[in-house]
Amino acid sequence: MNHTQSLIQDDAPRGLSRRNLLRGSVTLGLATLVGAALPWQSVMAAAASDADFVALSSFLVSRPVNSVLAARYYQALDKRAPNFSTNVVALQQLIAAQGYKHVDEYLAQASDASLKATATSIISAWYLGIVGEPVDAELIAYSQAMMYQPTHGILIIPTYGGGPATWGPKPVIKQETRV
Amino acid sequence: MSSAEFDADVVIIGSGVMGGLIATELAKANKSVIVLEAGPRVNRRDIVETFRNAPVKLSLANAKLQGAGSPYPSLPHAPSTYGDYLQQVGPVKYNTSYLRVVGGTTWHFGSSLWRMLPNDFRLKSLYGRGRDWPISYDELEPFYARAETELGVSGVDGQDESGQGGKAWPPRSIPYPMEGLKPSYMFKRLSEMLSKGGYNPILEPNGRATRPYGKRPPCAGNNNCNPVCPIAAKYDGSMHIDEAERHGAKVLDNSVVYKIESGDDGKITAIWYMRPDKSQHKLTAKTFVLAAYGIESPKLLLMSTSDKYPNGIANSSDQVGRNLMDHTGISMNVMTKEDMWPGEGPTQLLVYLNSRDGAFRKDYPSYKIKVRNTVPTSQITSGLIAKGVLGSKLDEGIRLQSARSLNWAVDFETLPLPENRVTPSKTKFDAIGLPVPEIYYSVPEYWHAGKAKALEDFQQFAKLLDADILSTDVGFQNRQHIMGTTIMGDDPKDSVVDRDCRTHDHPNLFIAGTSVMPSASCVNPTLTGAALSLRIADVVVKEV
Repeated sequence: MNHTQSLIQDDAPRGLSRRNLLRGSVTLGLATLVGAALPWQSVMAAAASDADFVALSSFLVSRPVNSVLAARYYQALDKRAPNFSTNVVALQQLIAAQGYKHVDEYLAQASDASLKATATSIISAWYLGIVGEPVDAELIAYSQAMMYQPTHGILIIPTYGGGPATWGPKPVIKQETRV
Repeated sequence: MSSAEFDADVVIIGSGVMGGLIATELAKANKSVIVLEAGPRVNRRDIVETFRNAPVKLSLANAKLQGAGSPYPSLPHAPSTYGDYLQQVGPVKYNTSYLRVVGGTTWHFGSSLWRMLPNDFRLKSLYGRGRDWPISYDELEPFYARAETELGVSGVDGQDESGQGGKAWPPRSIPYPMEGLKPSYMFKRLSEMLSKGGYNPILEPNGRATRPYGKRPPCAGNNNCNPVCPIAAKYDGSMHIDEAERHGAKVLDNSVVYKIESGDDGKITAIWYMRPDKSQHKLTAKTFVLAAYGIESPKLLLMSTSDKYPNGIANSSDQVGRNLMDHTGISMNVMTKEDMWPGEGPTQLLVYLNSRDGAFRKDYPSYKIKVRNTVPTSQITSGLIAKGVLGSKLDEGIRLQSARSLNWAVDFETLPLPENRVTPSKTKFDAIGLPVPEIYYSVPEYWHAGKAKALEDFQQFAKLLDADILSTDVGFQNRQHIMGTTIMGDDPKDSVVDRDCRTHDHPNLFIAGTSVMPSASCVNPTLTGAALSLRIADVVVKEV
């Protein structure tokens, strides 16, 4: 798979689409594997497989996630937190051991502050599309930042407008496809 | 080029909307024109891509972030005003952010294009405050009409823009060139609720096309007027620069003018500019127009000292750099109890001008109240995550706050105070050795009296909207509207330019832009600067 191409094709945030499923760029659960040998696989091999991080991310944000972005978030987060890779494995083991079905269950029970901080950093990255503090911040995604999804269909992503006079009627919240 | 005697008929310093308009008019009249710009050329797709890829994005909805995130280049010879370029030495920060690129600051302006009211030109005689203009609204009206046509203004005909809910005002010789933008749901709902308290909604005239206009497509609701319209539906100065070049004007980018030279007879003989490699070049012309906006224009005049002109060019009055004004403002955040959805459509449109004009201006300033309409997702999400809101509650929080969190802001008229001024720094220099601007700014009691009144309106708004006030910021927010620093007047002793924007001291030097305005009113000054620039062009076309 050509990763550059895949990023370009994923031009807009969306929920679970058939196209994405067919391309294998999203995953639905812990068991889904990403096929091709990815260049960053070696970076992550010591701690968790890329598929593991895709699965953990998907659990934490309650949505399918893009595996290419997952690898980039992993690298950016790992670079900034020395305990990141071990915490990712620990988080994953905890979630599996407790049998949490939804992130809210984990959040309600979370007692280990270090693991919670790692979980928060992963969620923050996926939502904002940005990793790091303003001085060294790195943008991983803009239009695919998940923060735009809860208001999708009402608010646009700045510079991706809906077209002339596409506003006016009372907005109605649409339910998005969720894990 | 013109005769061998001069490099050009007219040299224009600054390639923003004012310089671009004048260059276009002159080039169309077959005058030879050279426009100098300190900064580089930029193109839209690069700016849009830089914006999208920027981890810290500029946001007018969050004043604290105004110091970061501009997608425009910062170069050693033309440093961005978003960094530490401007030296603040007064009690109040004047953290304005103009752009040093071909096309100028309108690249990132919100594009409100207002006319002032007839009474705004007579502040001193009517209300005993500030200064009167040497010209009247009636004299400027035909130029307002031309400027609206040139810049492509969309607006709602028939509104009482004085805010009293009465007849159409101010008087107009033409309808708006384009009909107004469609209001969003929020604008309509707010208008309905606030009307019950006697607040008259006004949809502001602006530079967003609502039909194809010249090369511009209609506004597509990209909600990104600042920092860049991705589709060029919104007017910016690069459009007139392009037109001037099509008619033969020459534009020199990365050319920083650092000295204006005058003969002993008062006629300007040449300007000197520096390239990024510090090489120095001279240009001569019959007439010169200074259009480098309200900080750089006075700085250049004050830097241009000589034995004959020890206080700088055009400065026999000692008023160059003084009388710096803005629409220094305040804001409040409220949470409503019903969904409003700010962020749909353009970034701003609905304003309230109940306190735009009246006898009260003796006691407190004219002001405008506006509601921000920028997509708030990023600030809301970072705020929630910082508070530890995650999981389902995060999505719910994003939806709730996006729908119901409103930011109201007030722009106050400020007065021309001689102590508020721009000077070239004596201690800090940019990479090519030119002094950076030093700014002293303060806010008098008059402003505070206005603040007290506007805070009462905020309380009323919250009540009428059944909203809770979450926060109020009265910290002298800068509104990026630079005015006053080369002030206009009939008396050469207390003003820099005359009624034609010609410097009193130099018959062939004109100053274009909002820096000549003797009063600020409470509305965005760009259209007034543009009207005055067209007036300059008419004078210069006849003279050269």
